[in-house]
Amino acid sequence: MPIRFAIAVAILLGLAAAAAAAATITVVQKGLALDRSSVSLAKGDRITFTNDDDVIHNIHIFGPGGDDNVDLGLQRPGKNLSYKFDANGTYRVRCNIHPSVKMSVIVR
Amino acid sequence: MFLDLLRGTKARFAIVRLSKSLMCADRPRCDGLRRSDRFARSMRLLPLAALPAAALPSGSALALPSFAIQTGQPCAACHIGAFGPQLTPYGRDFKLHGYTANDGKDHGLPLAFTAQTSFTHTQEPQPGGAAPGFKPNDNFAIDQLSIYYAGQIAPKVGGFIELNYDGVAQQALLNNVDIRYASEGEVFGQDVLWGVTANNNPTVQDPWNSTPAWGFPYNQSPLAPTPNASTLIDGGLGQRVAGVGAYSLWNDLLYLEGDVYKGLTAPALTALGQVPDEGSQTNDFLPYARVALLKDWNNTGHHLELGAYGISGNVVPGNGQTLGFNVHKTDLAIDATYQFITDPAKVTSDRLSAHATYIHETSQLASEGLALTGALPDHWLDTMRVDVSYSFAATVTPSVQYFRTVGTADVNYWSTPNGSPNSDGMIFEVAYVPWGKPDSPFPNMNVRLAVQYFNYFSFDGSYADASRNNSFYFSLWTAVRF
Repeated sequence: MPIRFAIAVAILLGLAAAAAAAATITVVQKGLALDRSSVSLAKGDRITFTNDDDVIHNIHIFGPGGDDNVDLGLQRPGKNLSYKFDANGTYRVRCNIHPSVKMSVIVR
Repeated sequence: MFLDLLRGTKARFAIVRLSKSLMCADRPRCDGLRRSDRFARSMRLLPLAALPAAALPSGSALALPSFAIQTGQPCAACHIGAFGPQLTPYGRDFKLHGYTANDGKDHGLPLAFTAQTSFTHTQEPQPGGAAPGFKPNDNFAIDQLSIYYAGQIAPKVGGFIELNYDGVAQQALLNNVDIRYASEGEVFGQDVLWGVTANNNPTVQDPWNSTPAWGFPYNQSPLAPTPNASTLIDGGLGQRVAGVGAYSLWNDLLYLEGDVYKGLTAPALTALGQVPDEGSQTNDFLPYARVALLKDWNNTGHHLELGAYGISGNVVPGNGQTLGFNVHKTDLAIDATYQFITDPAKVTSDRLSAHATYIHETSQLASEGLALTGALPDHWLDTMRVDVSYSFAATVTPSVQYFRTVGTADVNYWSTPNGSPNSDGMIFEVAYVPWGKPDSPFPNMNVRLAVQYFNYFSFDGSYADASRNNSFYFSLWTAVRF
């Protein structure tokens, strides 16, 4: 009985942990454009940005606070950049090199 | 070869200066000279007054290495054929954002240098020489040497400023200038890009190559004859005015712009390297308006623009055309641009592009000038151009254009043999650009080799003699970032 109980608790805890684990989505950057204009995430989720073009890109994330922003730097062809969204609010993502490469991220 | 050309051109310098002064001495004066006398003189000067393109405002600008260094992008990212000035969608975006997009690194001042050298052959020799100091035919020339400040000036402020040395006219001058402030916001829940421009050439601020300042051909011989008649907006005010304007692009769909230009005074024109009497002068304010609808199908690589533009105001045409009397001109034009990028993810993919414009000009000569000139009170002049190019791997770009100008015939208004301003013809060009791509060995440098053929069906109202003005033009264009 104690063994069965322990196994059940472990399974439940595993399921709960899995449910709470942060998600990672991929946003494709190709043809000097992102493949979506906006996305909704849960707090703690992560986005991986690809660069499927043959020129250098950049990912610059402007947080919901207005003043807070993170420049992930230059992104060479084939390289991925990743960012974890830790606060609720609306973020703006853009490429400093290509002004029309942009999207919004809503974190709830 | 380049140094030999330079030495040869310098050796001509004194001769050219003397010849220019003689030409000016022979130029008809406006005061009290009857139109018939003026016309007789203009006929004598016709071989020279056939307006070598050197007398026209320069339209040079290109894939400037300073832009490439600032953005970390190869020339081909912004330019069809990896060399300017034909813009890709990203090139237009960069311009509309005020030349400020960058890779975040400090690259120093965005200075660049370009040189254009050429060889011109016309079907028939030009009596008296293709230009002062040049042979009647088969001339080598240094067309232009240019220094640019091109790039970001401050956050949200950028500029394109070109200082020129015209190797044919032997004249230093301030060429095209476009300084911008750009910002972004939202209107009706959609993105809006807006900005302010200060520039010196109506349409130089335009991001589409279907308007005159940056239209095809992107360079042409300064030593081949060009037709006499052209509309005001078709380069007639380039570097002769100063203007400010505001523009906006709403939802990547609707572009609106309004500018006001003011003519520069004669001393100002002289100080900036212009010859006041050789082009239109005005003390008037000239309003300019531009509207365009655009649609980018980014996934499939199709881009379309349909637009209209216009300008209006009083000018005194150059070269004593109206003996110094005002002409009120109104230019209304429509234009279209289409581009197809075969693989938007590769800047070296093949690219098809087409441009068209139709300009309709109406002119009213001041009533006090009618008797002295003998000209008609009203004239119209229409110009149409259509060009298509296909860029193979951003390396070889053949292009073809049909152009046509027609208008009111008036022997007392146009300096053509029969008073007709009509000309039409075709231009064929093949350009080769080895660099400017992601794997190019010299990111600070690019070159463009091109051969161009002008074929006239009619020239200044004449069909019989039109072909004598046909020309071959071989050019080498070099761009270097300091």
